[in-house]
Amino acid sequence: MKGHLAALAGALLLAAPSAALAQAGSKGAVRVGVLLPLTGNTAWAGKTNRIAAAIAAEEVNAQDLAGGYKIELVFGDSQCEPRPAHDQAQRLISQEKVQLLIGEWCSSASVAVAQVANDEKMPLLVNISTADQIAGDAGPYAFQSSMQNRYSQQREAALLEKDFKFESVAIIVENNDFGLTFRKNMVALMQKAGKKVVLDVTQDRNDTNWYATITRIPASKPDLVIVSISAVQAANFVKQYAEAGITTPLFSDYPPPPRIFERQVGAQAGRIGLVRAAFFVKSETNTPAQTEFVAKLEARAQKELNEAHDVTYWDVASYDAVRLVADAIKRGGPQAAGYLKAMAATKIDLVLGHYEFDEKRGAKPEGLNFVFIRTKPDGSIEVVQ
Amino acid sequence: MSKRVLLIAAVAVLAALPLTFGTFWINMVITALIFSLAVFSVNLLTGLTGLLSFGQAGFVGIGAYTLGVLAKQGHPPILAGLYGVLLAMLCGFLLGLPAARLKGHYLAIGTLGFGILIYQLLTNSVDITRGPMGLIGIPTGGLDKQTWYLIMLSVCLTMLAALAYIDRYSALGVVLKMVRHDEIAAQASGINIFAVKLIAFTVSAGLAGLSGALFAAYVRFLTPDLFNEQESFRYMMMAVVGGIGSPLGGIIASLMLTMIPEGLRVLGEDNYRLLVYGTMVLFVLWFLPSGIGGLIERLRK
Amino acid sequence: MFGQILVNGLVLSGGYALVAVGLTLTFGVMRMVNFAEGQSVMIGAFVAYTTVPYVGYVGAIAAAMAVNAVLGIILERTAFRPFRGVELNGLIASMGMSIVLVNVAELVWGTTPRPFETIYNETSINFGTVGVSVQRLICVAASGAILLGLWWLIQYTSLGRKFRAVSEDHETAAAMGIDVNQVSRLALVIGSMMAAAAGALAGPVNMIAPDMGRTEMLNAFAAIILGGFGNVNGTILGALLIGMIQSLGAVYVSNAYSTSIAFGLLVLTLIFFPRGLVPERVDENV
Repeated sequence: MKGHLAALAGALLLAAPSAALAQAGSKGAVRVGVLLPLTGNTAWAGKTNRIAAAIAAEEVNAQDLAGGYKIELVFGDSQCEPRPAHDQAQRLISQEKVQLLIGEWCSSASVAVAQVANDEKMPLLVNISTADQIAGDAGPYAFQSSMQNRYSQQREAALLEKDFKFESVAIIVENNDFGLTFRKNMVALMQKAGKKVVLDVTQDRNDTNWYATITRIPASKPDLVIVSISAVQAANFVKQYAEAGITTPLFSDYPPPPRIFERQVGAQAGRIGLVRAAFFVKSETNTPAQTEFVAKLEARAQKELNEAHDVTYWDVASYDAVRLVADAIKRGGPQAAGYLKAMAATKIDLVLGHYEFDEKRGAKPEGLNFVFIRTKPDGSIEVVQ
Repeated sequence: MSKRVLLIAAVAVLAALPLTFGTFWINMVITALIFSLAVFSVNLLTGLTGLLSFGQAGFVGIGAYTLGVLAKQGHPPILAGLYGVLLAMLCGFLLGLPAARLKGHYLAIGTLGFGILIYQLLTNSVDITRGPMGLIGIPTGGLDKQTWYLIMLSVCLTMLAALAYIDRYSALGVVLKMVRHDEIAAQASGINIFAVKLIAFTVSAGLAGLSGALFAAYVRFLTPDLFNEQESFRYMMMAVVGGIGSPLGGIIASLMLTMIPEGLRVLGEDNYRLLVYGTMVLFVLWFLPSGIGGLIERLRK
Repeated sequence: MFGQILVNGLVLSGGYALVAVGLTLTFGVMRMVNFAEGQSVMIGAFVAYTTVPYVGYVGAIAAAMAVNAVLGIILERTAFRPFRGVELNGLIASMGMSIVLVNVAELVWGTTPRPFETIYNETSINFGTVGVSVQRLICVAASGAILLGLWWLIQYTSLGRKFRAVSEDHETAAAMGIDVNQVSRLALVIGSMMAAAAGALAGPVNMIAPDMGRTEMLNAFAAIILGGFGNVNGTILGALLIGMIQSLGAVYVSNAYSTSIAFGLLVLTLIFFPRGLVPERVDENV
């Protein structure tokens, strides 16, 4: 037994150099931790989000937008998964000694980060995850600057009623948090509007075979098909929808990223005339702030990643988040009490639009950008209404 | 007398050691110790009894969600945790009923299927578990990291001792090992193989459930993704790297495989460190066929 | 509607069969399950995707198979041969290899999912009210052809006889002069080549990304159980069964539990047939 204990102690001692190795320990003005998926299957988004955040920090420091403080970003790779997110949040707080946190991308990871932030009494800004009520559920240290699912779904329902003529609808979703809340909200909204839900399918989000579901669509004869499927699965779905030759109009909740999505399945989406919601897309309807941001980010992404990049909502959200943090620091200082009060009183115009927070610390949706886009037969995008 | 002093000294060192680390690394040690309980369940089931299982994450999830859901509804957390362990044991028993008749890789895939079923149940039973929306704020706060470390250290040492006892000194251990080595001979000596396997499934499921309950109590949030089949593979990997029959090796492997990927972040926040991690696992397997546990045994001699 | 379910089931089965047969070959000869199989599929898909502009689609499939043949040799050396007799370690070693492969793929190709476009994606043939793209039909047909070829190989060639001999009892086979290492290497090479074909054929159906291949592997496991480990014919039938059941289950039961349905049925089968539908020989403990 003593040999065992000695071995155990030895192992812990062996791990200690790892701990020492990874300790950073630099001092700075205000250290702000940013949690993003930098590896793993969402890294394609995280890499550019990081650049966007970095651009924001540089501007804040160059133009002194944080009331005399300098912002120092410290990034953590949370891989869009809860356990790495939990561990990275801990690392940023206890080792990197950040004073404020921004993150994360995926809802399950955001739940983890919110929990840690609350326990450690660390102010957190959830900037990308749109899951309902994260800030409200997580406690007084969390704010959510992204438009929550239920608000975007209300807007979507309004558009559908206005622009699409339909009496019956098919609802198809993935079983992730977007999909499940979309389904719940949409079923209620459709029923309230007197429309008939003729098909209601929830598919396992790891199942890439949509053909079986698509097969059921013509059988149930809907006038409109609405779906909430994210990112690559959306591309899979649209591809198979087009191949199946279905002509029923298709509307999608916001997740498929514009232009990345078009490069994947632009032809098919154009054939169907897919309409979808998006927080942001580069187009002639952009505000001057948005156009300026797009130019900045594309140039930097080209330089650092050596590839052309189409700006996504997540890039904008990352940029805006850093600016929001700086603005709150300017008005309330970086200490938690003052910072949180200042954040709650935020009234500022940034790239995505006008930011204000409600009593549950979620961003008020009225000022935020939200558009509907249609894919044209040639694969390009046009903004609807 | 000196043996006892050494023992006390070793425990004291262990108890005090991480206080020198800093919160982040204590956190890693705590989670590693929590998962080592799941690895123990593999040691018991696969190492001792020879039953392959790729579904342990399901039991961990049952333990975790039971504590999470009940605690959020207001039940005292310790009671909720106990229910979690009991429910996991019940499920282990239910799984054992058909599984005890399976052999080798059939058993492996059968248990994999069970694990997947539990994962999908946890994801889709949104009304109970909140599914992908996750559970936040499980009310088990109030203990700081040092306390958690001491709790986990005690639990793990106790389990280590218990498993060592079962392995070396108890009739149960003898019987389990007989079932692993030679079922037919065991049966011939009058042992009820079926009952033995059921016991193994049930107890190991309970261990895994305990791991889950402690995890839920420590991190205080849950999402179903934490209990998918990739996790089962991870426990199996830790168990094999540690030496399948060696719980001590299991703890060490759990610590190493949890902390080293973190330490490797100095290589940069991208794929290279994971590449190094995968290669490390291969190296251990190539040069230490009995895992770390085997190495320890050799060093003792 | 039923016609469409049938077609969909066939398409699914075709994909699973190729992967499952590779797994079963490896298992039969080495008694180890190859956890890196899903990544073999993924690498095959990416190699094909990268080479299509240079050698056309058929050439790309061949290129993928060639690269995977090398991959098979590497796998055999690193993850399987060292662990004969300690099969569990071999299994974990293949897990380690799968981590390595995923990260290599992420480094080389990045994580953005890409569309693997072929001309066959453009046209669809209608079965009833819903069309199937020609690509999927090619998938089924090509899978069938490859599997037929493999079946012929196993039944009628001397290599096939060696496979069967080593699968049944590798010690006796070695005693009879068969080079077990060479046979093992070939099993892994052929298995990886099948995985490459699966990736290259099924890749165009959806987007390809470094994390693909995991669900295919899980379903292939289910197919092997049904068909019997090491039994190529049984595995093909198992894959067919799993594909059909999933296709039916998705329509008549639930989409949210698709993998559970396959595995649930599997567990049920195992309750009544603990050694699979096509039992293998008992080779130890007596």
